[in-house]
Formats: sequence, C-alpha cells, structure tokens
Amino acid sequence: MSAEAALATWLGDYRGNRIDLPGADDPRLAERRERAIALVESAGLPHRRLEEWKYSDLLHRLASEYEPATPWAGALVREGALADPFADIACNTLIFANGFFRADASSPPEGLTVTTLAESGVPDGALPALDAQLARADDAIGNLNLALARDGVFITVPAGFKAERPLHIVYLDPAASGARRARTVRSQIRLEEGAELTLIETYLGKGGAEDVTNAALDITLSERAVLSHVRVLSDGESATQIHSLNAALEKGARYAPTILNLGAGYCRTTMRLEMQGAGAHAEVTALAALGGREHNDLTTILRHAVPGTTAMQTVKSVLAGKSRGIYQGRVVVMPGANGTDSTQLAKSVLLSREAEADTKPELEILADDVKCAHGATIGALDPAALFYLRARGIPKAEALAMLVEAFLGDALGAIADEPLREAAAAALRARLAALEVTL
Amino acid sequence: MGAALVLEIENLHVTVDGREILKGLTLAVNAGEVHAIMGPNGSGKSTLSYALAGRDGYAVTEGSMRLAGKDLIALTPEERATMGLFLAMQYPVEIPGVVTMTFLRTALNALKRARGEKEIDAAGFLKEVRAAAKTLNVSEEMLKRALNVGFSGGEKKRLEALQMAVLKPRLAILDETDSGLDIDALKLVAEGVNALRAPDRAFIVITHYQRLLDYIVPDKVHILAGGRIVREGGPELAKDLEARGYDAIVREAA
Ligand SMILES: Nc1ncnc2c1ncn2[C@@H]1O[C@H](COP(=O)(O)OP(=O)(O)OP(=O)(O)O)[C@@H](O)[C@H]1O
Ligand SMILES: [Mg+2]
Repeated sequence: MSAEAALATWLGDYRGNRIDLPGADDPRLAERRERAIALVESAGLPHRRLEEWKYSDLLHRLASEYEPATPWAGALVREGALADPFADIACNTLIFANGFFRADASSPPEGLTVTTLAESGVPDGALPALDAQLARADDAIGNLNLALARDGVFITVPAGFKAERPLHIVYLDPAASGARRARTVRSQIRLEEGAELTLIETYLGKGGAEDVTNAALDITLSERAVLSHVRVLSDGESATQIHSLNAALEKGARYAPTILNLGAGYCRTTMRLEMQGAGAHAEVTALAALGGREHNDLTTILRHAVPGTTAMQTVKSVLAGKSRGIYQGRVVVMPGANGTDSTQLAKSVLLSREAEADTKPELEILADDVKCAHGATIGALDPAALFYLRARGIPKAEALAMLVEAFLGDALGAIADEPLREAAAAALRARLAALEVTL
Repeated sequence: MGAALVLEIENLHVTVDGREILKGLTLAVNAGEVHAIMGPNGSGKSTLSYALAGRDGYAVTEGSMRLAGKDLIALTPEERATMGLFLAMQYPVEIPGVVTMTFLRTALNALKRARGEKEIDAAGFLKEVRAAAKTLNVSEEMLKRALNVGFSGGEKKRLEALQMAVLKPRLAILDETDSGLDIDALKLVAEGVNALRAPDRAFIVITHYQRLLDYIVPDKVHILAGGRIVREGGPELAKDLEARGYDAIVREAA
C-alpha cells in the first residue's frame, strides 16, 4: 500500500464515521476534530525521511486495511504476553477493553473527578490540552489520535488532594484474533495545585492480530503538583503501539514517569515535556527488554521554557534476538531559561550480534548558564563479570540474568513506592527470563 | 604414597590472544597440602589460575589438568567450581547492581544444587556468613553493597577470602590475595586459610612476598618463570628467594 493509500484509509475512517464519534454533536469537539484531520491530511503520515521518524518506519505499520475497534463486553483477563504485574497492588482501577472504558469493571477513586469521552464527551477543562495538540501542526500521530479518539478518560485531582492509593488504568486487548483493528484512545490527567497522585498504566495485549493502538495522554501539572507514573507495556510480537505522552509542568511541579517496555512488536513513544514554571522537575526513566524482531523507539522532546527547571532522563535497553532499541532525546532550552539542568543518560546492552541500539541526543541551547550533560553507551555484558560469577559456581544463564537485571534494576529505584517497585522488578525478571542470550 | 592427588597438571601449554604464556607446566598438589607459587611479574601465574578456572580466552593447546582425577579442560567454569575449585582473583571484578550478600547466597546455593545437596535457608546462611565475616573483619555494611564496587584493594581481597570460607572449596587458588592487605588483614586472611586447612582440602598460594608464608607455612614452594616451573623446594626456597632475588635463582635453575 502506498503512502497516499495508507493516508486515505485513515482519513476514510474519519470521514465515514465522524457522525458516530463521541461528541459528534458537540461543536467544541467536532470542530477540533475537523481541524485535526485537516492537519493530518496536509502533513501526511510519518515517514522515514522525517528526522523524528528516521529510525522507525511507521508508515509500513499503518499501511494496511483495518477495522476500528468496537467495545468489548465479554470476560476480562488481566494478562497480555505477561500477566498484569500490579494485579495484587491495592489500587483504584479503571479498565479499558479493546480501547473502551468498562465502567462495570472499574472502581474510580473518591475525591477525583473521572469522566470518560464515550460516555460524557469532553469537559471544558480538557480543551486547552486539545488546543495544544492542534498547535503541533506537524504531529500527524497526535492529531490523528485527536480526530479519531473513540474513548478515553478525563481525570482531575483537586488542589491539595493527595491520593492515598495509586490509580491504575489497565488497557486490555481481550479479543486478539480476527481482523486487524485500530484502537484510538485519548486521555487526560490534570493535577491542580499541590495535588499528588501515583498513576499506573498497564497495556496488556497478546497481539494475535496486527492491531494498532494509538494512545495519547495529556498531563497537566499545576503548581507543586506531584505525579509519579509507572507504565508497563506487554504486548505480542505483531502488535503496533504508538503513544504520545504530553506533559506540561508549572512552577515547582514534579513528574516522574517510569516506562517499561517488556515486549511489543513495534512501540513508539513520543514524550513531550514542557517545563513551564521555575523549579519544575522531571525524572524520566525508560527501560526496554526486547527480543525477536521487537522495536522500541522512545523519542523525547523536552522544552525548558523558563529559568530554573531541571530534568533527568535515564534510558536503558536490553536487546536480544534481532530487536532494536532507539532513543532520540531532544532538549530545547529556550532563550532566557538560564539555570536549566537537563541530563540524558542512555545505556544499551546487546544480548545478540543482530540486535541494534541507536541513540541520538539533540541539544538546542538558546540560553546561558545551562547544564546539559548527555552520555551514551552500547555494549555487551562485561565478560569479566560473567566469568567471576560463573567461577563461583553460578550457571551461565543465571549469571547472565543477574547481570542483566543488575543493569536494568537500579533504574527502578526511581519508583519510590516499594510494593510497586517490587512488582515492576518481578515483571522485568519474568521478561528477562524469556530472552535468549546468543553471544 | 599416602595422600590423594587433588591437582595434577602435566606439560600444560596455554595460549592467550595467540601468544603462548604457559609452555609445558607440570605441577602436582596432594590433599591436605599448601603449595606456594612464586615468580616474576608476567611469568604466567595468573594465566595458570585462569586456565584452571576455565576463563574464556585461555586456550589449552597441549597437556592436561586434572582435579581429583577428572579432566578439567572440557568443563565450564561453573562445573569446575562445582567440583570444588575456587579462585581468589588477583583483581576481583566490580559488579554494579549485584548485592554482595545476594551474590554469596546465589553462589552457595548454585553449588549445592549442582551437587544435589539441599539449598541453605536464609537464616542458616546469614549465620554462616556472619561468622566468617567476623573472623575476616568484613563489615555487615560491605555485604549490603554492590559486589566489590568501591571496595578498597584490601577490602576486595578480604571479600575473596570470605567467599572461600563460605564456599569451602576442595582446592583454593589464592592469586596474590596478600597484595594490598595491611599487616593486620594479612594475619586475618592467613588465619582464615589456616582454619580451613583440612586433610581433604588443598591450597595454591600465589604470592610475591615471603611474609605471607610466615603465616601460611607451605608444604612446597614452586618457582614459575617463563611459563614453566623452574624450581621446587620447601619453605626455605622462599626465604632463599627473598634474600637473593629471582635472577640468581632462575639462572641457577636453567
Ligand atoms: N589478553 C592478553 N593478551 C596478550 N598477552 C597477555 C594477555 N593477558 C596476559 N598476557 C601476558 O601474559 C603474561 C603472563 O601474565 P600473567 O598475568 O599470567 O602474569 P603473572 O605471573 O600473574 O604476573 P604478576 O606477578 O604481575 O601478577 C604477561 O606477559 C602478560 O602480558
Ligand atoms: Mg598475576
């Protein structure tokens, strides 16, 4: 299928179904969807000649017929390629099945405002983030998501509210067979002044069909709001997962996302962080453990807009088989944003000769008195360390697992909540045990 | 005849990176004995210890090595460890992210599993490690840190000795375990070795210094030069060496 035909398929979905999309009779949303699809049409779908997409051929993944996913009312099993690692953690849980909210299986937390797109459309407070999306004219994936979103959740944590339990959003793919489906979900989380929340997201699929998920999450953190965010992805080898994670941080806000890709045929996460208020701090941790032909692309765009904002990005990948791990980290320090401190650290370990890691830092510094450090390493596990462990009687496979876990594991320290961290570590171990070392 | 042979090396040739380092080394160690190997820098002492432990890149091109009668050459490092071989390394490796205590327990249980023995429970293990740690003056805090990471030279060596005490090998090779130790630590490590001495256990102590041999009195001293054992003798050979240096002794042997 040509690029034009691929684009026509997606535009056709919109044109053919727009009157059935949620909010079709709400001009606030319908008009924004129209603008979004017009932007997609003029920008075209992402292709490898665009610098931002040069490592990840998305067009190839989008270029075939699909059916829009439909609500799933059947039984829910909380597992993907791996079981839900957080099933035993006491949480308030929101469940999406096949891209649609399942109220019957969800337990929204008290004290938070939770509404869903399919049920009640878009709240007024959510419009600014949609407009921010429309302002990114070149972002075809984000705009396609806005145009086609079938469901999603809008969450507001009121000022000063400190959620006791984590909020866990589970995205299940219950019917992993039959036609190739496209799920489009767009959610928002807004933390008002001084609010605090731990958000967990698990994307669980078996990827039997070559499904495409296009998920966007807009995050707004008001002054001194604190959001800890753990996202785990475990999907099948043929799945395509495309994620946009857009966060804006006001004065003194803190955002700490930890993203674990524990397997998915193709995953692209575009993370945009807007550091808009002095003292805002972002602590990004992204780990991937991949095998087979899996492909993970994390592209971050971090904009330090005002003086005195800080960020630390730690990206680690363990790559087996013919898998590929990509990290493109762009840091933009706007004029006058003095005192910015933005660090990027990317490390990859290759467990096979055919695996590949690519790292591309990109610094655009338009201010003075700025600290922007970046470091990248790509390599095999330390053979001296492997010998040391084996010489003490630890079998090769177990020794390798120890070293791989040690390589990734310390990065999990970013998850402050201990049971959560332990659960993430256990999921990581389970994934690592399934990877083959062929060095 | 008496004691059984623990280690039997015959005409061993070992090549590293295409360069022959050991050139026909022969050595026999009986159960219950302590042997010292001394030799100039670069003579092949560590090469011998790595070849015995089975490190990748140390290719045996000729000759044989047997542990308790069993040929070692085709065995993996972990199989050799299971048979009771232990190498305290000259340069212990730092392994970030692996907690020392966890490593020790994993190693001990791996050995037990491979030998068909029951694994040790957490409490029993802790007791055993604490006892050994106390005699070797290894702090509880060190055991909680990542393996060898940021340990001083002497701390690393004491931890090697601790591992030996916990893993209780049949043949322990100590490759310059005394280098980097202060005088008190040297005594502790020597006492650790002496406490482990047993009729069914043997030691090869690689060292540059007579002082260690004052504390661990060897049954035999071998001098390794140019990839071969060029002289053998009793403890007096080490003293002779200390007094006259390698040059004289090796030339005499030639
Ligand atoms: N990877 C390697 N490639 C080439 N030569 C090597 C390699 N490793 C060791 N050698 C050489 O092998 C020889 C023996 O080294 P070895 O470490 O066994 O000496 P040693 O007797 O233990 O010395 P020291 O007393 O300094 O510890 C040295 O000349 C050394 O340079
Ligand atoms: Mg040496």
